Amino acid sequence: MQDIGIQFDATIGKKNEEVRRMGKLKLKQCLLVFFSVFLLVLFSFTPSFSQQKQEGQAPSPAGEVKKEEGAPKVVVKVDKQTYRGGETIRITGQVPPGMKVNFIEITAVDAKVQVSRLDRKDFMFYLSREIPAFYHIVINEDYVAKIDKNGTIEEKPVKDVYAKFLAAKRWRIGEFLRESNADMAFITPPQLVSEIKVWKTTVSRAIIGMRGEPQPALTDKREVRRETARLIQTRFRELPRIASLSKITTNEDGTFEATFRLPDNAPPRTYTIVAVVNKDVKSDPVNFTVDVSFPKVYFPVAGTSTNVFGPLALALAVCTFGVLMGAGGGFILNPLLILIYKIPHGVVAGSVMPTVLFSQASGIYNYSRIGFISWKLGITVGIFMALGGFFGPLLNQFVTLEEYKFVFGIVLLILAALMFWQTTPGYIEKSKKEKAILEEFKRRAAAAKAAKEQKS
Amino acid sequence: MRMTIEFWGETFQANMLIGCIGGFIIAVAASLGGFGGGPFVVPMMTVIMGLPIYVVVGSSLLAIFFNTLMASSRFYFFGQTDLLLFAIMAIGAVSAGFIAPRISKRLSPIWVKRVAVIGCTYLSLKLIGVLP
Repeated sequence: MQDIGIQFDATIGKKNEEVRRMGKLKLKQCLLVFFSVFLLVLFSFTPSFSQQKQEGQAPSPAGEVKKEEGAPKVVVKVDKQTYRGGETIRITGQVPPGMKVNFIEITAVDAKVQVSRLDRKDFMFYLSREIPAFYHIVINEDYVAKIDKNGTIEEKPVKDVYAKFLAAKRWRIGEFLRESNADMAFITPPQLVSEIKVWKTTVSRAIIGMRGEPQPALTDKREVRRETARLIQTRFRELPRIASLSKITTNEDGTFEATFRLPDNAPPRTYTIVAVVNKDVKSDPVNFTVDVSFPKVYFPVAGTSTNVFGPLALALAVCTFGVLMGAGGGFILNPLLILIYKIPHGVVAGSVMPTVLFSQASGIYNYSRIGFISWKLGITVGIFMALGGFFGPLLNQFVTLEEYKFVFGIVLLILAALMFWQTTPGYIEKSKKEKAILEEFKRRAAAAKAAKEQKS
Repeated sequence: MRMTIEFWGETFQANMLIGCIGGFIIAVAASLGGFGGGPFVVPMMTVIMGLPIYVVVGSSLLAIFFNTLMASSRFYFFGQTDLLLFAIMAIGAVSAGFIAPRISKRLSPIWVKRVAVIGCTYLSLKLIGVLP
């Protein structure tokens, strides 16, 4: 019993010691936690460890931080993730109470094209390879634009501004964006364009076939923004292709909705959409994609999508007619591609011209086999024609679409006059004799060639 | 500036000043527009330079080829050639080369030209802006 008592006492003593040890340990842990929390609080209030200091910014006053956190935010959504050309996008979202969505910017961010223009004022040539192949600003038709005129704010319904620019024969995109206030929605293209190449065109440089004296590329954000807008105008030309008026309904609870029909020739891949209330209040860009699948194809340099059988049938019909009338197809094909498919004139010329290379080469080969070419005449005139072919494509870049159409129209008129002359009785009679002589010479040439081959 | 051209035993005198300057101007206009230029070079050589058609038919093709080759390569290096559009146009042009000779037997070339005159006039007036 005593042993048991001694043992019991000893056990109690051990337990008491353990409790004391545990108590010390807990106290140490509590002190450690307390100290850690203290350090954490201390560091968080010490400027040298704060975020602002790390980023090299001055600490913002508490009021400003609050304002930033509570900054009005616009949320924009689209009804689908993937669309096809010709489909209608249903755009919805939410704006802070009391605000209205006035502009919606839609940009093809992956499909980019090369656009160039010559500024006739100072003869500067600008070129960018990063212009979006599709760009559009939807303007709320009820919006009233505010224009600052020498300090006084003038209000004008955007419908009137739009109608004015739509009726104008010549218009400037900068003026339109400013007067309609749509410049506050011109957000994405300047971000896509990293630099714009510049040349100062001179006659001496043009003679040696160059665009001009290379100048430092535009990299200043303001300059890039201004020139990007001008290149967009050069690319899309017509106002309705760049901006349109539409109903953007904003409800009392801040929800808004609008629709936008994608054009049939919309380029593929990623697009961004931004809803804009004013200069400071806009949504983050939201992405969607446009899918182009066969028989529709995307022409990457022309920057347009179309059913492949359309241009194919057109080329077949026009070239067949061209061969029948003896003038080739390019004369009719080029203006039709511009008028029907709105393909830029530079791309039309650059893509149609090489198509006759094969037929020309095979024609030359066939004529040379029977010795039916005067090499002296062909090469002499050909050298000067090659010189002409050196300058023509350069001039093609310098002329506007209107000038191109005018030159082409004159050329077609001359061609029509020439063909009319070829249908007159006098010419037909002369032509019959000439054709008979031509056939006779061809026959003789072929016979001589055959005889020569037999000998060898 | 006259050039003596010998062709199948015959000798012709060609005014090369007209040929070279005319060829240059036609080539500039043709390459600016993106077409061959054949319908202008042939009348220039026959009507203005006074050469017979059998001398002109092959030689003009050779001269135009210089222009087409130069202009096509220039357009390509300027980044203005859409290879897909080119391929489709080439398929159309080559197929037309096979189809047209079969149709031509059934059609009067004079009437084809008359239709072409109307078509080209209409298109040109539209391009110049006379017609809406």
